[in-house]
Amino acid sequence: MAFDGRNYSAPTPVSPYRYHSRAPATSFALSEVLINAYVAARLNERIVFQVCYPYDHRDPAFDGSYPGGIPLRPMTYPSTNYPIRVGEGFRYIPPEATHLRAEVHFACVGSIATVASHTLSARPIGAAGATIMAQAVATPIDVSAAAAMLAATGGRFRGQSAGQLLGAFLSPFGGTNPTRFSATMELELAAQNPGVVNEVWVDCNMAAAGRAGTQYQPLAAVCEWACKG
Amino acid sequence: MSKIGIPEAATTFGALDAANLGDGDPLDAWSLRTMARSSNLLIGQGEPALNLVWSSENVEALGELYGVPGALAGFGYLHWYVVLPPLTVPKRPGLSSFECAIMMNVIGTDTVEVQIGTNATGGLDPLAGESSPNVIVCTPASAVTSFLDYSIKGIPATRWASHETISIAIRGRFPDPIRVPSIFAPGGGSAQPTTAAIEKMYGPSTHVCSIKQWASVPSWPADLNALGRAIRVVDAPAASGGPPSPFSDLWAPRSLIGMGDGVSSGSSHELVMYPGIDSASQAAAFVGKYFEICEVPRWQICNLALWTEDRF
Repeated sequence: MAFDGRNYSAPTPVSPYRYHSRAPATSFALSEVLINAYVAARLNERIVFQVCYPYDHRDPAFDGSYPGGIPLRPMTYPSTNYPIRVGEGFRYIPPEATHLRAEVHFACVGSIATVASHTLSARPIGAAGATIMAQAVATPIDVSAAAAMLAATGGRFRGQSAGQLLGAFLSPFGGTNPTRFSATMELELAAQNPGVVNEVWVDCNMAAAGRAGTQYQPLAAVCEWACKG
Repeated sequence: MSKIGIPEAATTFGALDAANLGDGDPLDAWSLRTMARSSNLLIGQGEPALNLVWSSENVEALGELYGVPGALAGFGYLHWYVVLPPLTVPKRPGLSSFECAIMMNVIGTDTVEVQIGTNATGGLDPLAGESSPNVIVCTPASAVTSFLDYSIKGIPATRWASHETISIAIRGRFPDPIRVPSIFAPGGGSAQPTTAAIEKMYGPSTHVCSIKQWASVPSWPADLNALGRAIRVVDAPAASGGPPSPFSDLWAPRSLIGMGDGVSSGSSHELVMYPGIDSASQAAAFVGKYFEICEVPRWQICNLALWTEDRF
């Protein structure tokens, strides 16, 4: 069977037993060194971009327009023709990479059920005619259900979570307050992407039916390259 | 020389002389040892895990609010307050700790604590404190209007995981000496009471309670909770216009998180606090005692960086 270091998931320091002898080094000892090199190539320096939109956490009240702080990026109505750019960056993607992964945290407020669709895309820069690789993830948004949950929890303090932590990112909330969501997506790279610098970005659009009654707001996004299999 | 069972790591990534690697020759133990030490160094090096940057403009000083800042900004409420969504970051397996550095402006000489929750710490702990390995205590040595550096090493990480979920929470310490800033009616109107005998107290849940004044109705601004306040309950009031009450608190101070029941447009006569009362009898027992509206610390962050520490 061909030796493939990608079968290993964690690096292990080479034990000194392997070389404390006058005998020629065994192939097993050398394989440990090679495995570490493979793992280092797969699991090092994977960040592509990280963004967290600035927040003014000076109003922790959950009965205002913005519960647990005021996001400094306004709420908007993204659509297919006019998507919201959530995050982007440039990254040299190593030859070992096979996928891109992204995680997006966002908020929605409104009364109309809709779908927020996030798309992770990548394209080599400087390559004329390069194909845009993309993967979309749909998140159903049903803020009316969150409002029902609000009524069930009771209490004067609308939207307070049943924990001991305050803050802007405890979900869900309800009523007129934005509800927090998260979405993850994974994009399988094409042969054009590894080994060159790529432009990587995440967009969001919402179904047309939701535009009239539900607003969207990105909070944070992270993206990394990954080596699978 | 390595000790039995303890791997060696080179101090710098080294290269072998080409003479050691002649084609067809057996590889000697010393050459393998050099390769192994370099390999161990490579897999043991830390790397960036999280690096977030916000605007460092509009640095604020005590008593001043420059409107909407570009930085991550907030108040040091008296209970852990989550300031970032839980972000999943990559880390190299085999590394078991993070180092965190923060560029923060803590107004005056107040103290703000920052808790970094990881999978290894079980996320954020509501009971974490100064002695926890994942809590940074941020206190300026003097009142300067600028961002200062604070850092901590040894934050637990899950050793063999290739990812870690990071959460950040902030908590303020009650300023010493206690500050009781003046409060004015909406639109810069007349001065409003910062202390008075409690007329009615509500304890609707374990997470929230409120004080509502009926007889002498104050006109507190409806956004008073957005100015960084906490509520003390004391046995006797402070002198009118004087310093904060010297009497001990009857309960742990609560963070002012909302203003309820507007009296007229833009004003309120109800203070909503977190957490709730400690026992059902407190709501009645505190009637006739005195509330005091105090100030909590204020902070801004323009950079938050987290990276895995070297293994060797």
